Amino acid sequence: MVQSDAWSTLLASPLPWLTITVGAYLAGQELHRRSGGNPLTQPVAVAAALIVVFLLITGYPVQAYTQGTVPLRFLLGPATVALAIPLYERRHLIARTWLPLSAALLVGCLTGVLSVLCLARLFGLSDAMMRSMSPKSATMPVAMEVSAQIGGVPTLTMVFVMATGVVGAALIEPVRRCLTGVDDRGLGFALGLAAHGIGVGRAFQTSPVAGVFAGLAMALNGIATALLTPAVLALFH
Amino acid sequence: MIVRFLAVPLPGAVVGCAILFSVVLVRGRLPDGLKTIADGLLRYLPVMFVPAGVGVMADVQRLQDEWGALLATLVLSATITLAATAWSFGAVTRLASRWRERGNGSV
Repeated sequence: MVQSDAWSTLLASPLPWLTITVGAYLAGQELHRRSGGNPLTQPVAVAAALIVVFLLITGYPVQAYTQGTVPLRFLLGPATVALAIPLYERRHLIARTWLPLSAALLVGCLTGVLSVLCLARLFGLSDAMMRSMSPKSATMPVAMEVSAQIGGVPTLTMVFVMATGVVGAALIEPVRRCLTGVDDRGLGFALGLAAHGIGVGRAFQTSPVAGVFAGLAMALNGIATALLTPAVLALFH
Repeated sequence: MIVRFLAVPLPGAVVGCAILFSVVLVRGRLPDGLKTIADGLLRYLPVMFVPAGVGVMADVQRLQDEWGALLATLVLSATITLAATAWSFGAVTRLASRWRERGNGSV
């Protein structure tokens, strides 16, 4: 259904694809706001779905779109580096609660990766799937980089990361009810560690304290996952 | 580049993050421009994932093939991770405050 030459020339350059991406994301954000922050209407997922529909209707191949949005992927690196800034701003909080923070970080990060490896074996998942899922609790840019490094498929990792965020945010209430002695700090830390950005959003709904600890956990677990996942995977095999 | 040089199995961007953190920590304050850039990048971070989300189209078949096991692994792992983290955070907090009450250890 690709018709005129003018269109094909235009769509060979990145600009229209970037515009479409940003437009679809804004639409997704608007839907997310109207639905009252329902975790099922993640702006990224909505935007991706809109673009998939657009590609199906116009008949453009996915490759054209992926190539057109290469500039966006270049931004992921600097964005990961930028995670250092919120971490620096919370340095006093880190210094005050370093013991529970580091203990929970180590336990949480190892549990997150190891549980995937064990369960994947139990349920007979393929090796590529297991590798792609193991960094699922880390924040997206880190998870995708780790996945590429350990032989996973970054696009699959993205799906798992997103699903983990949604599932984690939904499960925190039942988990909290089963445990005793969990305060807002521990709750927030667990949400940020296990469910990254989506968990942080969920934690802020509980209390500001939970939200701050969730943000901290997300940044710390990004680093911990990058450090530990390759090692854990090597030991597991 | 540094990653290749040191031959450590780490994503370069994560190393960059650690380096930036150390640098601002040593300098003791945050340059204004840096904060603006970081905030801007992080606010629009989700937009950068949209292309990857579209790229999933190509992998839909593989996801369908194993969806049951994938879902089970993901949900169980998320539950275990949440519980272990929340529990250990609380347990170590209590442990630390007990040490402090006894007066031995300067945690």
